[in-house]
Amino acid sequence: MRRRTFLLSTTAAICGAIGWRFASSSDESAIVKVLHKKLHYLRLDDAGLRRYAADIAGLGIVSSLRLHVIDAADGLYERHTLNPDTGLGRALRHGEDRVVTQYLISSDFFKNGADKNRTVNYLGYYDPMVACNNPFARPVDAATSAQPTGT
Amino acid sequence: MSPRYDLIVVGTGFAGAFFLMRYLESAQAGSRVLVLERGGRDSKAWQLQNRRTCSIAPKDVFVNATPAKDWYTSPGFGGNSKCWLGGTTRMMPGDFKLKSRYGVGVDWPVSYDDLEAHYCTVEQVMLVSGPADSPMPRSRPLPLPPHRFSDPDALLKQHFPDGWFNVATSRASVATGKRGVCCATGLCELCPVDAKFTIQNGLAAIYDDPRVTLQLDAEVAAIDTAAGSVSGVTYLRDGQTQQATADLVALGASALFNPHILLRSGIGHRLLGRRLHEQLPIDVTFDLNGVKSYNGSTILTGLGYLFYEGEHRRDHAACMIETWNSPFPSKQGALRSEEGRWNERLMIRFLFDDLPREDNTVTINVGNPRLAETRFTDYSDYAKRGAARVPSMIDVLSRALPIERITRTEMGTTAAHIQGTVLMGDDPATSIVDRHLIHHQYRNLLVLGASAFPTASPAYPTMTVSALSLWAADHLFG
Repeated sequence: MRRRTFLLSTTAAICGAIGWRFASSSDESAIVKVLHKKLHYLRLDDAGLRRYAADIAGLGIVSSLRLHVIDAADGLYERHTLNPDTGLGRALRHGEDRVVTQYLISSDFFKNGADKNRTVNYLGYYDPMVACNNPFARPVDAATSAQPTGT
Repeated sequence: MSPRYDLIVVGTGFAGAFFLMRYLESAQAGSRVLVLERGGRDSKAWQLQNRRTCSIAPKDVFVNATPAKDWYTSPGFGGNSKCWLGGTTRMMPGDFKLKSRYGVGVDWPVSYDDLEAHYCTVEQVMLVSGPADSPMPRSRPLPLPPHRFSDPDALLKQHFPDGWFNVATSRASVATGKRGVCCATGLCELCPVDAKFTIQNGLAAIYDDPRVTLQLDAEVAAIDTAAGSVSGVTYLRDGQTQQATADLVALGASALFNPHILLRSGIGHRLLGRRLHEQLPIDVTFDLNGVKSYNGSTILTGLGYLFYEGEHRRDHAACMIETWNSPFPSKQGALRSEEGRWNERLMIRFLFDDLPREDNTVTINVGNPRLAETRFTDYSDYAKRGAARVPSMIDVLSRALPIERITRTEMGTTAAHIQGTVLMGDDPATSIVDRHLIHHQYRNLLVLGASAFPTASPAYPTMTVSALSLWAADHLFG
């Protein structure tokens, strides 16, 4: 009886702890975690990072449920990476990449020539309506003299 | 007394506009044309400010009874030219001859050769950019130079010189004097630099012609008939029911609304509203090893015809392949996170033609007859057998591309085309309009647009829609 009570109370405590962690997690916090983890090789301005997280939380770039799981997992998420060739790993990576993409194109990183020695600053949520800001696109005029026939 | 016109055109999208353009070229100075458009004229400035292409919501014009299958439309002046991405592929000759060449589907009652000159005209009006080489025969080069390939496209072209081509598109590759130059911003529906052809930026002048009366916010309630022919149109405007009479009526709404109007008019046929279809899209994203992507000059840079024409069409659907050049999340794109490898990624769309099924339909919504209702049961087994071959197609592409891994595979919910529902054919028992888009029963009624398509083709429909309108107009007025 005592053993059963112990098991039940332990299970309840674990469930309670997980529930508390999940309830106290946030999209913003998860977004910051994703960026720190995936862009660990860059210097990111912290204030800008928080502003970015606040700007995109709720936009649905990544599902809020997934972000809450990331935030609740905390150190587990920060230290471990799921195999990207598994279904769960692929889905997580897709979400992470979308967060990273939106951040990088909203920052001065590519404008500064992708220089990893410079601090990356968030410039404001990238709006595709502000035209012609694709960091990789090469216009036709520059291409015609450099491309072989058919390109 | 109802006002009388020589011609009434319903709709201001590609089908109606190209028909009207050709009609006005030969019409007398005193001709009178009424054009009825269900929506308003949402200016480019309005669209950019409101971040949508039309002030009418899709739910205000049709009910989707199977929401898992999207249908993409933009009512209002200019029709779907407002929301299209600007893809201007022609159909291949074999698309018109599926039955006689491959023993499947049906033959179209028109051939590629019938439309070739009209394709050229449309390409000139739209100032299409594209390559000098071409997967299909053409009598004239495209007016603008091709967009720049991305690096993966260049590799694919190198390995498959006869199977890979620069995209043909109305997204301007160089300055045209009328439109901006496409800069791959990834937002084609609302293109902030107005680079793609639209009716608004390319053919609006025909609606200013003194022979033309354009009535916006005019919802056609019925095509009126008398003594075996069409006498005019009844429509709602400003809360009033109005009528106009005409010698000829050209219905140029989309494949959603052409059948809806005919059904409401009591102009029935066993096949009317059936065979609703579009291409089956499969999207696959790859991580590449050492090849940089997203560096072309427009949102979609290459087209693959490796799996298009051929004997395989006897068994399964043909496929046209698109290479996407947008890293933006709004277009399902994404960069990689690894240092220095941000753009070593590529999204490819495989588009398969469909053999239309009679149980995919447009009907009148029972609760509100002013709304069309779509119901989609499924793609054909023929299309699904084609889609099942995507893994083997990827194996072939991997001869050119250093594919590290597949990161995402997904069936798209729409190819953003709407086709079928008012079938074209030679036999009145098995089709509704003839090869010139004239109604078999009512000979002064034309039903223009992709609603006439007997089969899908993997190619985008816009060029064929526009060319068919010129073909129909030439037959009557040429």
